[in-house]
Amino acid sequence: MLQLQFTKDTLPDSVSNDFQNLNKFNEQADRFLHQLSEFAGENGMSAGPLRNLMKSLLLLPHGSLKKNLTEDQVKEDLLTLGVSEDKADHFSQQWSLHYPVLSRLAVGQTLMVNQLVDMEWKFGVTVGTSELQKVGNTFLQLKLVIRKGNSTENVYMELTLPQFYNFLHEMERAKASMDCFS
Amino acid sequence: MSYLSHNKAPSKDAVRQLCADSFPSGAPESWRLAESTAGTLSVSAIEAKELIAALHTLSHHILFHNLTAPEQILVLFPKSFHPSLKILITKIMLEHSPTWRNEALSNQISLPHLVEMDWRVDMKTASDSVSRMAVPTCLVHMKVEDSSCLRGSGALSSVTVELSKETLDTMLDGLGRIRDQLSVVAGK
Repeated sequence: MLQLQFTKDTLPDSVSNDFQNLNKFNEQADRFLHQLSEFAGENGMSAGPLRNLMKSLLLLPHGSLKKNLTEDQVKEDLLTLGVSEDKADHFSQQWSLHYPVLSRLAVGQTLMVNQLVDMEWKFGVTVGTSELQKVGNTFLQLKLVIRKGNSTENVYMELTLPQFYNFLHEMERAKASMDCFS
Repeated sequence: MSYLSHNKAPSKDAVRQLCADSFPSGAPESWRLAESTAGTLSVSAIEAKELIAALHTLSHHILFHNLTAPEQILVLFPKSFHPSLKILITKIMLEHSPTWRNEALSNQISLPHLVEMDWRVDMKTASDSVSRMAVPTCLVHMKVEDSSCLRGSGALSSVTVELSKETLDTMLDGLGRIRDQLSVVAGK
């Protein structure tokens, strides 16, 4: 880490771990800022300059994640930036440790259009209608919850049994196709 | 209905046509139908309307109770009814029953029906947060009958949904459970 102006203490591990959480900005921004303020308080410095410091520091993990950098490349960058050897070592080790989680989070943040969030279903038998006193048809009703921007939309539909079996068959084919790639 | 028996020469085809025309739900109220029937049978429009209403009630009664044997239908006619006309009408009603039943089934109220469905699997290779990746994703497109329109009027609404691998797996879990439950019900 860059030498802090206000203290010569080595940064505790908790701060290193905080860096690893950078991709969870939305939910945990508040928590992160809170931890920063706590850290500032513990070490006798004000929160404001520390926050600005963090902003610049976060550029490194963010860019490294985007470019899929390895542990060694990250360490090299840190040394170039003037971070001391042992701190660079520590950080790059944390990096390789948390990299899988971080990259999964980054991929998870990737754009999805009309993402399917939930599916509810019920099936039943039609017993009778106003036109036919006795019927015995099976039906399946699906409710798909789709994320559109920030809100969700519900789509309702009904399928006959043959349609259901066809749907299931097609989805199994899609899954087989996806499995080929992973 | 006695009007029919009093008429001397409605042809078999005319009777058949009349039975078919009087079945749809709007038939008893249609003056147009009443007038054309009046012309065919040489009766007044009012009498034609009553005739259509009677045939309509008869056909719907047969459909509702799923009467399939001629005897069940013959007893519905008044005793004084012309016998061969009675038999003719019964025969026509029974002939039309399967079609009418299917029509009633397909027109019954329901949620919008799935009409068509297709899918594709894409591979995401880059995004603004990750410059290189290989993540498969599935897009499913479904055409659903628009519920606000009349059945069979052809108005379809379309929805495209994206599923990640996990979502697709979960969905297949759910669909598999449905299939298992269906086979349990079918086995009973």
